Amino acid sequence: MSEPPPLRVRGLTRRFGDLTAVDALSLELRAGEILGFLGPNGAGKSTTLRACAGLLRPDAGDIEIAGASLASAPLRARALMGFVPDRPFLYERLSAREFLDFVGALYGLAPDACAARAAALLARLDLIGAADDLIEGYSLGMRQKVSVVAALLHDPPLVMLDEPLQGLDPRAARALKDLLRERAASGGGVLVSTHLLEVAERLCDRVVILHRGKKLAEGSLEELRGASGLEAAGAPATLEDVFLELTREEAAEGGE
Amino acid sequence: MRLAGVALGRWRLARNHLLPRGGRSRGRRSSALLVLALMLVMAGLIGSGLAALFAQLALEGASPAEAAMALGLLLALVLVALLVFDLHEAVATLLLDSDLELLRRSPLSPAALLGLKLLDALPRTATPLVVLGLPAVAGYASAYPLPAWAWLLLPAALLALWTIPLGLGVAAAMHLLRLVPARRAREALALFSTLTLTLIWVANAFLLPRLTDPAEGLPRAAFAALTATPPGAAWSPAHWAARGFGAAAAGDPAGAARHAAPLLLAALLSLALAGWSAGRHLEGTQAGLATRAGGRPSQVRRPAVRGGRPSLLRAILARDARLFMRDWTVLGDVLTAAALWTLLPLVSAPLHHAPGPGLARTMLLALTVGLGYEVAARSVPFERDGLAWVRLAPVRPGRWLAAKLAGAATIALPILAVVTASLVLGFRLPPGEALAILSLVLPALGLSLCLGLWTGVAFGDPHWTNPRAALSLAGRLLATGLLIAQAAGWLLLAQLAPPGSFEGLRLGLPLVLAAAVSVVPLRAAAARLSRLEWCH
Repeated sequence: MSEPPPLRVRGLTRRFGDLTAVDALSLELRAGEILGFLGPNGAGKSTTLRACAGLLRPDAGDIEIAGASLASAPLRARALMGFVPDRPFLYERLSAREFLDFVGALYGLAPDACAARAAALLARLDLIGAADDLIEGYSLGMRQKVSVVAALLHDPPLVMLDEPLQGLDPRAARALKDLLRERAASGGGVLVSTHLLEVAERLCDRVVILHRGKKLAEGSLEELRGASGLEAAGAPATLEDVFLELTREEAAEGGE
Repeated sequence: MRLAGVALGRWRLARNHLLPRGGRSRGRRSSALLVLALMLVMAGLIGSGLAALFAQLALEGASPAEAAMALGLLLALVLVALLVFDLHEAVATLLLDSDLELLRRSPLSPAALLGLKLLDALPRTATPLVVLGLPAVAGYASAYPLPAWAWLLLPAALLALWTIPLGLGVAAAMHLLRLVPARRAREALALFSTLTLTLIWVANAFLLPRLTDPAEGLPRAAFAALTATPPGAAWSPAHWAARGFGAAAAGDPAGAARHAAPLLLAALLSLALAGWSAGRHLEGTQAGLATRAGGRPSQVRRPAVRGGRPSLLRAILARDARLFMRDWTVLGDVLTAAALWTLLPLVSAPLHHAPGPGLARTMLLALTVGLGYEVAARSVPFERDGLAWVRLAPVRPGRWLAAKLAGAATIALPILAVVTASLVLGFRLPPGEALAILSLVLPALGLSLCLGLWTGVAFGDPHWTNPRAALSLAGRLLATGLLIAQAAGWLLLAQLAPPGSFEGLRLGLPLVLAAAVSVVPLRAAAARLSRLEWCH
């Protein structure tokens, strides 16, 4: 029997009052894949990620993390994922090392193993020198790095990142992208929401384009080029061209 | 730049803050009106107390000028409270407001920017004026009637009393933020401003009833202290204002004008000081804040790496201990509040009667029900955004709550132990009596911590800026109601099972009762946690 995918979403719907932020969204993230989550502001990307992380309850639909249902087996599902939010969930008056020690205990990691893994990841992201400083003195990029380490600490099969590159310097951004590629190469699934289309183009194996809470397109860059019709026009289309073309069409239809 | 357009924008901002429109804003609107209603109730209660005080002074023959010295003392208290409030608001609105960057980049002169921010600060700093300044003058006027023209002096005097500390507050804030990280300065000042209000409230509840006892009259020493001219009165703006009212009450318009003139001059000088400080230092201070956003890095000792099995309880206890010990505003607040809760029963105790075991028991009960709010309820929003880990990590809500309960008990029990030991020694309680009190107080603490955890989970605001307001207003009001209900319930139980009744029942009943009732808030908190959503 084949392994369940790191993430499977079926018919996810989430409303805020009259606003339907995510509308019957279905998607699947395969093992060993980096899936890019794209869409204009307010498209529902962060809502989807937060619902998949268990921070928001869906109004309808199922979410499975590596075969564990978030609704019926929430503890098992949460143990199988790591989440990097757009605004890190940190304790200002702990040091990075103390914070990661705490997160490791939440995930049931043995203290010595947790300390070793945290040190390795902190070193990888060039934060080991500031690991004993209080987080309240950290820059945005440093906080983002701590958040990434916290998500990877327990080595989950699924990692979800909401705008993970914001605030990171080029060296740290490269280190993070390498880390994510390594995770995918070792069979994990990575879901990345980003506004940076060049990053998505270079990093992701497939992308899902979300618009007004609905899935507009899904596939590799080549498949999306075909779907947008730009390839037929003969022009070498980038992901940005495809994205603008698809969201322009949808906006025009929505405006009618 | 159209100053009128900018001012209109500020007006709309203030109006939407106080009276938000739209369906989702209903809660915020009722909350703003509730704050206003609470302020008016507090002003009414303090005003009636002060009216009784001035009536007593008049009854005992104090002249308008002598009674004006008592008014001067009250207005000096207003001035001190305003200075604390203004310093806090100057830090909050003048240096840290979210719209400050936008206003600084717009072509506004420093004077216009300062004017706009002072208008922003006006309603928020007006609390001491509304709850103490205005009631003090009204109380004075009820015993020493003022002529109609003298009421024109009131708005000018109150405006001057508001302006003088504001100028000093603005100037002091510029220097303070060069020394202390902005967030800590803001939290500490918020705490000081709330404690100032609390102290005013305690003074009103504790001192005034004793000074205005119609049966015993005003103690001689108190009469002398209230009506004497204090040293430095010639240089006190509060006494200038009070003497102005005193002269008005005596029907002396020239005297009133003579005392009001330096008051208004001081207000103008203070505004000029604020303008000068802002023009000279505002830009530099804000630039400094932007470049050291988080303050200097503080290094802490590296946690010891242990072998063996992971322990959630140990991890949560260690985290809470670290967070608590590194936050001196919250630590100081909990200790101050513990002292105030213990002393609270003295407010209603007879002044000259010797306290007995009953008073010790009531004081300890007040402390225990207070600790539920002070420690357990606030321990939830105290986690701020880190609270999201309850939903992210594979931890059952019940286990998390059990660890939080243990953490709250770890902080509350030593406080209770110290106070119990002090009261047992101070009241010379026999061991049997002390044991009987503890048999009531310990279960009461358990229930209080459980109820506190529930209010923290249900009403905690992770984005609090004032440690005394870490729960939403509705949560604070509900918590107050629960504290009163708990205290009343435990006191009733103590009355129903007095010493001498069946010992086993007397000692065991509170424990059984607390254990049975505690299940309800704990289950409600766990259910609430499992439904918690994180949209921030």
